[in-house]
Amino acid sequence: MPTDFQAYFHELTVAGYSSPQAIDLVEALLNSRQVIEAKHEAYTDRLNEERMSNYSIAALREYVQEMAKPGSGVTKNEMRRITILLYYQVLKDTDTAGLLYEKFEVHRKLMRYEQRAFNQLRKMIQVKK
Amino acid sequence: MADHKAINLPQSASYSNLPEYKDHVDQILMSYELPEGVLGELVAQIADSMWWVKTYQKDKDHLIVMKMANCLVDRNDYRIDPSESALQIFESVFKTWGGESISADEQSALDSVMASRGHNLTSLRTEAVRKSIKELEVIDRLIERQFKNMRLLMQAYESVRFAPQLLKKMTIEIQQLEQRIEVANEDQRREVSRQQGERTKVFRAPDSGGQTS
Repeated sequence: MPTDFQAYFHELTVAGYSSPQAIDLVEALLNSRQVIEAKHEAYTDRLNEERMSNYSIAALREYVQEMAKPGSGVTKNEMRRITILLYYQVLKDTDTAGLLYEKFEVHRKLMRYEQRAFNQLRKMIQVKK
Repeated sequence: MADHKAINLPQSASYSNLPEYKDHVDQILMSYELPEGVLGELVAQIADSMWWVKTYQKDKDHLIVMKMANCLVDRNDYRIDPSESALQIFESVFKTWGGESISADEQSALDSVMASRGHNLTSLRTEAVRKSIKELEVIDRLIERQFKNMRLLMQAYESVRFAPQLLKKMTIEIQQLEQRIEVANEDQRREVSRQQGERTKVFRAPDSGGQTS
């Protein structure tokens, strides 16, 4: 546990919280902080190295044909399928709006953890009789 | 084969390391008179939620403008680089929609491409929003979540802030309750001993005064 959070435990017990409640509370506070950090880590753009370049379908076809070794038995139909597959990836990787939305999508997946963490914190922090 | 990547999105590091983010958190902390410890942590978390509301809102606007640009670019036209062209149009649309001025050449190019698709700026935006309803719903849910987080954190902040007073008040209430119970117990003890005393008197009475039948 970070030093700051260890100090929070002492602060809370001085404020009058019982030790078990102070422990729960510090854990809840740390949990919500970790969710915040995870959100920051996740909301980043994909690096250029992780994206396909902006190839035309003709260029991709040429590339796939070059890659296929003579006598490897790869049919024209298979090469066409691979070309289409790569082309879809190019479209996805060069779609600026789609790339921006990817970041939102990661946060959407984190949302339930976020909800749980903040609800828990609110619940824990209430003074118990 | 072309190997150029025109799209260079600006943000490649976590926001929490950016000076803008740190300034934002510091400003919010200052507005709360620089609380320390648990209260400081809670305010920093409130500031974080506020940051995300602004960021989501800004990126939502960008997303719509990008979609507007995409509505004007034929991604299958490889005589021009589609992402390059999309970025140019994005810039023109973004500036125009934001009320900034663009050069006459840019304006003319934008008007021409919009006219070729039968759009003006408003109809283009409507089309872009229509095409991204699902995405926008997700973003709105994310924004709503931040407001809920802020409310929960505010309540937590108030609880911690007033915890010492509340705990003191509760301690006094408990002490009063204990005293009241103690008094009641004492009364009860007195009553029991009084009754025992009376019973003893009744039993002793025949020895001194005569038998009761």
